[in-house]
Amino acid sequence: MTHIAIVTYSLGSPLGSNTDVRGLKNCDNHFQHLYRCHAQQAQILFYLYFAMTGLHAVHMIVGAGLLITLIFMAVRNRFSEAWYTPVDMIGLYWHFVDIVWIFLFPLLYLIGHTK
Amino acid sequence: MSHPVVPIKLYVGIFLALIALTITTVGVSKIELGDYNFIVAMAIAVIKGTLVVLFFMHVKQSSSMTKLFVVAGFFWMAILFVFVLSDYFSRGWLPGGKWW
Repeated sequence: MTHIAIVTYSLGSPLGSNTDVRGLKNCDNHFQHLYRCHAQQAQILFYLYFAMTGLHAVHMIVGAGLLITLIFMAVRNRFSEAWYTPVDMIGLYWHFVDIVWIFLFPLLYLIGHTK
Repeated sequence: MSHPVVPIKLYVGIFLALIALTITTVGVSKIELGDYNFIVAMAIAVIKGTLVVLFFMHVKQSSSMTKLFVVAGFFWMAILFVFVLSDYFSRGWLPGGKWW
């Protein structure tokens, strides 16, 4: 039900009138059931789900590489009080990724919890 | 480049606030509030995002010019969101069946 809620909130209208979105009660959240009862909703839902989590994962992998680089630079005493620009820049990037997840987490996993 | 060093206590405080807000948003999501579930979840997310931008990204202690650019960035993002959401919410308004 969690994921269906994204559809009802953000994609409620594009689903067309052939399928009654409100009739979701008859289907549990078992994936096979979701596909059978609401195949098109499931398709656009999981397109969005995997696109958003996947792009976020790519950002995180890049960030992990940058942070490892920072660790190596710090170990080699490359930074001083006068120069620590990479720490600032990579910190900004990492917190940008952070903010993305702050919004994606409730949108993907929490909204519709009670539905 | 350099800027005033932020005490670790502040970072820890912001971190704990973010954890507390995460627990809150998960807790509230289990309560049936109808459409308000969405509003509350997004409101908490905005508060958390603001904390991160202001303290972790040092915008609070940055110059007015930096703050202006931050606001301009979010304003531009809002414009993009309006375009995307106007597409989403207006689909199916016209008759003719499926639109994909």
